[in-house]
Amino acid sequence: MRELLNVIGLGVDFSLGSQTLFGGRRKLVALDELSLTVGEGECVGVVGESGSGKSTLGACILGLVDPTRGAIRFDGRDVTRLRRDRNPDVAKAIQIVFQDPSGSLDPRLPVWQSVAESFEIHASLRRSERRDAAAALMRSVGLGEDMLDRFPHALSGGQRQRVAIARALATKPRLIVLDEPTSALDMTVQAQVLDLLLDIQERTRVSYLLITHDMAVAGHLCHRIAVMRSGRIEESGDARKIVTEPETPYARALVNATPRLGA
Amino acid sequence: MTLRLNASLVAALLILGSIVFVALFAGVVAPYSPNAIDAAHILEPPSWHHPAGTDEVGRDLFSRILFGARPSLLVAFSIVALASTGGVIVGCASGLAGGLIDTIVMRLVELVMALPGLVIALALAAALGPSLVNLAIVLGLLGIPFYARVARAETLSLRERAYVRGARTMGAGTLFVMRRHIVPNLLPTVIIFMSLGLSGALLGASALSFIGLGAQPPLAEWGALVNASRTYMLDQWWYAAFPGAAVAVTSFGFTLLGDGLRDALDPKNVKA
Amino acid sequence: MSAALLQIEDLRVRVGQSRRQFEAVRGITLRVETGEIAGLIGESGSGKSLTAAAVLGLLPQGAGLTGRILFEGADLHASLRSGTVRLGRDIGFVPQEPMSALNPTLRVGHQLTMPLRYHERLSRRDAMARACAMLERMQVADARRVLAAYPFELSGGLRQRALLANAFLMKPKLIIADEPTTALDVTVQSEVLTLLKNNARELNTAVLFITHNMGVVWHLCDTVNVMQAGVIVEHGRSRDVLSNPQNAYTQTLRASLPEQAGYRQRIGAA
Repeated sequence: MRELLNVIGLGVDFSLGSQTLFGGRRKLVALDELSLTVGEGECVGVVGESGSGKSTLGACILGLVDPTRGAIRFDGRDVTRLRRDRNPDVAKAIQIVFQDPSGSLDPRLPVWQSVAESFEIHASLRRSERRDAAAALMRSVGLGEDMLDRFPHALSGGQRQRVAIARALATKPRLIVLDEPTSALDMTVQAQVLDLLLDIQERTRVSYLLITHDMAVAGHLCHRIAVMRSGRIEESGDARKIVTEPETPYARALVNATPRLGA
Repeated sequence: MTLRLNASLVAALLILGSIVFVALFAGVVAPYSPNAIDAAHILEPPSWHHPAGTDEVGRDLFSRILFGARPSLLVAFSIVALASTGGVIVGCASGLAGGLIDTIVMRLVELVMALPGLVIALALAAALGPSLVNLAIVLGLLGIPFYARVARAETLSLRERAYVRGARTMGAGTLFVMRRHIVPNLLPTVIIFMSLGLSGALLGASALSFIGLGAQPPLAEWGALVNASRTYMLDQWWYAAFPGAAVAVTSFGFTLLGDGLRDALDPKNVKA
Repeated sequence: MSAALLQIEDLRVRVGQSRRQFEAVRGITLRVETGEIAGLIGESGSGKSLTAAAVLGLLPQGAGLTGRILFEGADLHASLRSGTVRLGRDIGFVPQEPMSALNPTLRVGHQLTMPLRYHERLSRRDAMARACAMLERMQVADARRVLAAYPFELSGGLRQRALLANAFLMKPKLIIADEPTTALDVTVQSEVLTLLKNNARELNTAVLFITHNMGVVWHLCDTVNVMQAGVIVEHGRSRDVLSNPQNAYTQTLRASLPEQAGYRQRIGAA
């Protein structure tokens, strides 16, 4: 399998508080020499609790945060501190689906405009063409034409997530970062969205980086899992193996703490 | 942006619509010329002939109020338009830029706010010559910091929203984000401040007109009328009451407009 | 049949503004026996939280309620009004969001001891001692420090333990817990649930536990009531209902769990 994303020794420090008289602010190490890879068509899960640094990892890959140390290579190219507004090809290749509930879609825009946003940013299509493209994208995630002009607040959580997925697919990305995509959804709705994500991956061979705290979801959808704590990877490997036979104490604690039926 | 009518908006449009109509067609509607001096009817209380009474040189107050609508509205709108446009641009750009630029810009904004507006206006009037236009420009510029702070505060919170960060990962530049996401989402807040600002601008203009910096007599701008009535207020109550009522009704209309626009512009209120 | 501790009969709750009211809870009947841990499971919009609010008398303004809620055989709201039953003393509550349940301007100790001093007229020292002991029951390592701290100084897990302590403090007969661990990390959640279960057993406290998580119900609850769109579609012993659901909705719920589906297979019907 070809390597698509390669994170090498990534480190992110945040400085806290005000500077003391003699220089030196307090430092928070959000990511500590972290390395992982994602192959083409692969789904890699990053599982951790709050404060593990998993969201910071996602932010670095998306170009929202500049890492302090280390490198990120995408398709062989160094994208570590690459500005996305100056490099549309990279911007289009790596997309994100956030955790809803609010804030993921601009509340003042009808959803088709959110879906077609990338076309607007890159000025590639006229308005009517953008609308048609949005309709097609929404159809591909199971949303009908009648939803085009609706506003986010009029949609259910599951529908909003589908819109977010449609928006991510607009640029035909190679990698989608999914940041807790189903955490705010009801169980039945989560199942539908997971099925949709599976479907899309089978159709398009897009790669996923799934950031989540839910071991069950990661164990279901991912090929490989990396368990994160305090900015480091505690254990990584085959997803099924980690969920059934975790080796490190922390990974075992995470797996055991996830409430399951029939145990 | 979608717009939907609601009760406040309709009421506001009726009130302000009438006032704007009067402003435009005062010449047709008013019974007397605003400058027609009539020595025989000085300081008369309201009557059939003079519904709002007359002033110290016999001019019909009702007509003066009608003719005063246009300059009063114009000065209030100009001040707020200048202050809000300038303020939103400055505040929004500063908020998005962040870092050192943001710090410097906001300190400058606070500096302007700390300056005594009256003294500045006096100085500028002395330099440029007193007129309603200069007044509008001065007060407009002095109002920029207020809107800049509001716009910056909104921008700081909006730029962390997921849809803004998402646009950035898609390759959107700062200008696109500002135009497409930030400004439309901070407009409702700014509009409410604008509606309050219109009332304040009206009264601020009248205060400066008193010093002689704004409307020059015989211009019947409402603020100038209210201030001319100071000497006569205790005995000739109509002289202050009617122009004051004009300001009050217009202010009320502005407030309703702010309310109505904010509700009308909020997509959550669109009936599915 | 002996009277249940909590008996809800044909409860209906209407919410919404005057013209657009609708029935969010549509005639549910539910029993919680003394010392029983009963689960109420449902998705969003099922009406489960409103049911809890109705029992506690905490419905939003303008909401309407019909039906009977009996606590120890007597009408609950009447008892609350007359003071025979008091919230905090006889019925405890553990909410979902620890941060909004705790007053950020008051120290935790102050908040925990307030009801003790009010209901049982304890002195400040005695109340603090009781609160300290209860916190230690909740396996809080440095109980004194937690009592002296403000809520924002504590982690989410510690805050929830403080709220648990608060709920158990006056040894109520019934505790209503509304998704108390949803906002917590999974390892912390597991500890908090164990604490809840052990203390409920030891003190013979009944619990009405509201959640959307089937796994939690499996491990924690003796009985479960499955709620959908304002009605209870199935109820029974939790292990029975969850391992062998009879109702179609319960079956759908169970089938939607990722671990019930094959690895990287579709969970729902194609």
